[in-house]
Amino acid sequence: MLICCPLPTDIKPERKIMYRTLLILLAALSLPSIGVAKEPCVTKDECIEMRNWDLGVAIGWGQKTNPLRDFDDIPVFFIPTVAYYGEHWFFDNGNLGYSLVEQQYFSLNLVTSYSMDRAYFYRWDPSNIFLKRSTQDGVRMFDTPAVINAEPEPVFNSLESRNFTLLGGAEAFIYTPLGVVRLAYTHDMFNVHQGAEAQIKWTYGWHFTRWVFDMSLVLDWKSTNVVDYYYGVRPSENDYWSQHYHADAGWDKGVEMTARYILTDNWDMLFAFRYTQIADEIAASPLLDQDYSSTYFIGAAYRF
Amino acid sequence: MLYILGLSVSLMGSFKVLAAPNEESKLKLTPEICITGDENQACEIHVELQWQLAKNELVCILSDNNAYPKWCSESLEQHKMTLSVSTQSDIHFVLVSKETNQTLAGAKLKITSTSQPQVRRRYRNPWSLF
Repeated sequence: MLICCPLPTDIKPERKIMYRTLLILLAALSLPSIGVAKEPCVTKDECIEMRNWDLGVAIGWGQKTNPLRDFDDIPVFFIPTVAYYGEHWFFDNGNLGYSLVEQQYFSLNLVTSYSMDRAYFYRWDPSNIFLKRSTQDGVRMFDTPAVINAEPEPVFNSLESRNFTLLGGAEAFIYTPLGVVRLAYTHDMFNVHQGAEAQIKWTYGWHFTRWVFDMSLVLDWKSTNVVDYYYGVRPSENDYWSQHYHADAGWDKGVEMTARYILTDNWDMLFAFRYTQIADEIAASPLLDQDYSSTYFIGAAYRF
Repeated sequence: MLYILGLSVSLMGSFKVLAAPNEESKLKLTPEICITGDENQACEIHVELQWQLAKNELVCILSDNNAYPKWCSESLEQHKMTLSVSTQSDIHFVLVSKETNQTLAGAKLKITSTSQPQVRRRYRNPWSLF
């Protein structure tokens, strides 16, 4: 039985949401009766062998565009895949999860995740560990010729840190004949920006002889705190813009496509493409000079 | 046709069969599970089928495996039989009335392998890290 008390009234709204999220997670964990109803996955591609590491690497060529002003695009030479699924717990490409419900048409997991936004700023962000960045010295950003504009050029001093954090929350999957819908809500667990993210994602997969295709449409919501933390301008970076850019929550919209051509049991050819239309609220930040990010990759993938 | 229907109904599970009108009729299989070291390895085992009837009558035992044809009791005193089984897949046994062919009870021999991998849904695209 979960006993709790009313939240104090002087807590910030974002923190209230965090506490509520934690309460929901604790309540869910205290209900083992929900249990995990084991429903077998339907196709080999949806399945993973339990209690066995699934490791793989794709080697090839690709590129991820960087919407940050004066930051180089990011070449992609190889992509890893690392996963381990136990009875309830799982680790999948950096996400840790615990399955509360697994049914034929519905799954509910507690999960951790990390923001993709920090990857634009840091070479060694987990999202970029296997990507090679040529330069990322944002010390003196944006030195292009002056344009006639009432606003001063967005020239920045050295950027302050955008720290790494893990987000924690819940995700639900709904399986339908027309694809899989993922609904997720996660919140900063380490008080770095105290923000939250949400996702609505629809994925449809199909097979054609040796080809395996996956297509997704994605809506990613980022709270004001997340947007402000990553894309807000600090006074030390540019005093004018720190006062004139006001971060707000927004929705990124994206499309993802992955195609695999099965060569052997272990080898696939891999073709992947992503396009993200960055939310207007984020694209308005003077740190950005593009309102989109796109990624492509072509290579050979080996599963151990 | 009725025979096939009767068999398929009885194959829906021993629990349902036992909960049918003949609630006291039971078919007990010993052992119920055979574990093999490899999924390609056949399970070779002696099983005992023992039945308890609501009404003492002659019975027959059917299975969904062609290697084990229909067997019928010749005496009202007989309430068990042994069978040598060699199989790689589960076998459903059904106890029917010899006279009416009515399904009385069922039991299942389950074959599992220690090397059989257990799988579950994967929640991320394997190539999501890019």
